[in-house]
Amino acid sequence: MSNVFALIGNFHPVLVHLPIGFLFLALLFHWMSGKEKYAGILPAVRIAFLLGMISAVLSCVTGWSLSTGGEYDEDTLDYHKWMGISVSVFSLIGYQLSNKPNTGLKKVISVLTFLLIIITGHLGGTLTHGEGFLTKAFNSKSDSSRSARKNIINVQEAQVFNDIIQPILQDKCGGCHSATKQKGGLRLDGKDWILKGGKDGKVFESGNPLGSEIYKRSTLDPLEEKHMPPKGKPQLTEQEMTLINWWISSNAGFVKKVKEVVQEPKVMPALLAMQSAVVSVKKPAIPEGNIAKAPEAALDSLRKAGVIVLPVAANSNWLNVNFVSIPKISDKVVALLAPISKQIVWLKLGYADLSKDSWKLIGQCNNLTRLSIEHTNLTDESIANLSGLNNLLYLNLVGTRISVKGIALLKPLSKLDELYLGQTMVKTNDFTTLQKQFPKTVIDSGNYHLENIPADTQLLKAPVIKK
Amino acid sequence: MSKNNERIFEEARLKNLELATRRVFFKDCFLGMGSMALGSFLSGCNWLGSKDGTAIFNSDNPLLPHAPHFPAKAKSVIYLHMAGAPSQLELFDYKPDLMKLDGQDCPQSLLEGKKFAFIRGVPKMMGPQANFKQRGQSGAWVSDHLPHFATVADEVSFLKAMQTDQFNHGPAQLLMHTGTPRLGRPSIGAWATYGLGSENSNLPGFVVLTSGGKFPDAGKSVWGSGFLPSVYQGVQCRSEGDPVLFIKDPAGMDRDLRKASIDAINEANRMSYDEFKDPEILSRISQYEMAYRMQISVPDVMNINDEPDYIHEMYGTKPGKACLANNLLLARKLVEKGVRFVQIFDWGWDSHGTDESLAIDYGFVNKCRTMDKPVTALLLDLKQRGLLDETLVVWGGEFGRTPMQENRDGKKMPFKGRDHHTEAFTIWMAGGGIKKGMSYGETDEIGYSAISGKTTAFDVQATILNQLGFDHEKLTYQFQGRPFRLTDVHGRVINEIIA
Repeated sequence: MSNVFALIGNFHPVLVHLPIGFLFLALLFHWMSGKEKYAGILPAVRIAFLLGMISAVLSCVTGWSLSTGGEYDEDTLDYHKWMGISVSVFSLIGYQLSNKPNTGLKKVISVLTFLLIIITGHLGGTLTHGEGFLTKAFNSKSDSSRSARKNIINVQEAQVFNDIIQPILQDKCGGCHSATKQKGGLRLDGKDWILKGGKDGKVFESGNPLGSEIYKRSTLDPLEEKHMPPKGKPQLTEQEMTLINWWISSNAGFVKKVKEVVQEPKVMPALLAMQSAVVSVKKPAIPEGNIAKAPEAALDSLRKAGVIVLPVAANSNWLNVNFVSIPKISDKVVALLAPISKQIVWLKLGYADLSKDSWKLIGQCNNLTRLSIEHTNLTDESIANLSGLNNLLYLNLVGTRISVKGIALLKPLSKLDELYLGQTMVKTNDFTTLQKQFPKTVIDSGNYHLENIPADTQLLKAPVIKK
Repeated sequence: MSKNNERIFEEARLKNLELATRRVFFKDCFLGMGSMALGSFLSGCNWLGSKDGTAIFNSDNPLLPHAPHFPAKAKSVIYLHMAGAPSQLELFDYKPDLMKLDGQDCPQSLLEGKKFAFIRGVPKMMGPQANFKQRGQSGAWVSDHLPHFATVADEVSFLKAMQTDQFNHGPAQLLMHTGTPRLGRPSIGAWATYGLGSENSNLPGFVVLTSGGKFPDAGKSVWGSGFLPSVYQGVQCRSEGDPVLFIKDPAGMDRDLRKASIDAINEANRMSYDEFKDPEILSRISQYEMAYRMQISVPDVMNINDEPDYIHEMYGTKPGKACLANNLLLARKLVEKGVRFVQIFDWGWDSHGTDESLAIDYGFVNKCRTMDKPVTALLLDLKQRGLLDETLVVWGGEFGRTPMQENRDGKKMPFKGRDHHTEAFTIWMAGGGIKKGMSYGETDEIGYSAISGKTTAFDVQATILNQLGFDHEKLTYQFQGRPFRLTDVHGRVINEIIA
């Protein structure tokens, strides 16, 4: 008997669409019938309400059956249940009132029914697809799916579980196995839950990846029913599987740091990728949101002067400005940037000899994320102008007369990812100090050399064999 | 001078007057009717792509820079093609188990139903002919053939499970660069220039450099423009003699005279534009002007002699010679000046073992030696200029080499060699928003076939376009009645190696 009961629960997702359709149709006809032109459809309202009511009751019954499976967030489920029941009640009232003359009460009832259907439907969607499913598409732009992952500067210092494994589980398993939803009675959002396991028992056995369901399931044939994550959901990548396997097989547990755990050659690239991915994940960086379009006249005058001014992408107002085509860059041309100072995000202005005013102007382009001013006449004084460019991620100062003193003025650039200081007045032993001042920045000292080894110039010859 | 101009204008005036003569009128009517009829037959062939909403071709200035679909991670690409296909088994794909089988007959299971370019009958297996070590933090396997490159292995992402379906050089090279083994499609560089234009208005957007004494087997189509307007084809430059052929002014013609003659021609063209308003005339004018500018800027950028000594030493250049080291240094100079796509071909990697220069234990090792230092220097030089971050470097061949020793025509060969192999090869990418120290894809224990993380030429092309800011499915060109794209109906961006 209980099997049959569970079976009808599976029809809930199909049935729920019937009352939505019938009742919306009933309400639509009801509102339309107020107009004289459509008065003829009044009898249909009653039929639609009747059908809506019957299907709503059926949905309630099947829904109740489905809810006993117990894989859903209780609070949301409760609201959904009561809202669903009230939809049935209201559809009954609507049916009863449908052959009565129009009154204010009828209007209120119809509007309430409408709202109830929408709320119930949304709650149902939340139960199936997870919290915030509706607006996911909008959110993904500002916080990518990787946002759950912490910035790992040095992977060896990171915690195996908290910094590496948990974010993967949250990303790929959290949809069905976390606070909002517990398919199979399993939660994977914390040490205790993982150790507790699910309906079918333990999922984690330290030291034995293939004995741990949490890993084993992901290795099954993707077509198999038990394969996790289920077909159609984002799958674990090869790298993620390597890491999970390593986490279980190496007995890393829940508190160890990466460096405290044995690392086979196979996991090294996966671990390193965790680290370097973070350094450059923000890379093509343009500021969030958009900005007003730059004045066309300003763009024209720059283009006429030979400057390349382009949006960073089609449909973007952020600008990429490049002076590479101009053999000799004058202050007069740089001054043309003034009207678009807020729109520029990438600026290439290498080999320029600029006045104080020009540097000041560049310092006002505070949305800049990438600035290449290699081989310019930038000095330890004029660099002060750049200290307000706090969105900078990339700064190329190669070949300038900058010294450690000048670089110190860049301290406010908290987002700086990459700083290129080859062929500057910064001395070799200054770089350790600088790295301490800018712990999050990758500082390139340049000055690379390749040792000459005999093989570079010697050629191998086969021994001559006498016939 | 003005007297010469008068003569040109006079000639232009006469040509114009001819248009009104009875003879020209009849001739034009005759041809005109024919072409009108033809035009109506071909109305489905919208070959300039003007109906296509995504068409970006601008006949006034076809190289005008454009914005890509989304913000780019790479502004330029240097594609290093080791023509002939280097052996992955002696460089990056370390297979100790293959050593155990060295000298044994190849099992039938590996030969049944397979086709090889030269292997016949039952070949012998051949173990790795190099010593391998894990390098850097990433633990990437790199053989002793590349001692310099081994020091920068942490900078690159390896694709170890590349596959192709072409086992001859020409078609396989075409597939890598144009997305089809047959002739007639535009190359990646042509697509990139079509999509992005040229950043430096004084230089071509797509430059090709060759070394190794031979052109790639696929010929110039491998940097051709296919059905795209021909302005997008690769401009082949030489590191020996004149960088671009026929770009020098002829003897006795000085720069001022050249300028004056181009001005005069353009003025005549402008006069006819005023009369006919044909935009093709404007295009012609801008081409003349660009050619004039390039006469100065191309020899300038192609001159590597003004580079400091330590750079020459780093790359190991041989001034005045056509060699890979010179070309790589040039590539860096070009990218620095805003060239979008530099394609480099180095011939001589076809290690069959037919003679000493193609022996896996002699000629191949020597090829590695001439490539190792300059390629490493290129990566480091780009890095120290802050350019590696925005320049995508791709290294690879057109296919891989067999784990079996080649036995051409079923006979033992004079030297050790490996045959062409389609089922597994390694390429690497670096810079331009690619992960560092990553290795993606695996081959089986003996390196015969890719088993996981398989990638193809289409995937590489999709990834290159992606780094340049393009959705490879949306960068299209209307031709023969349908939109074409580089990856045709294939291709997946290899997100696993993208930072």
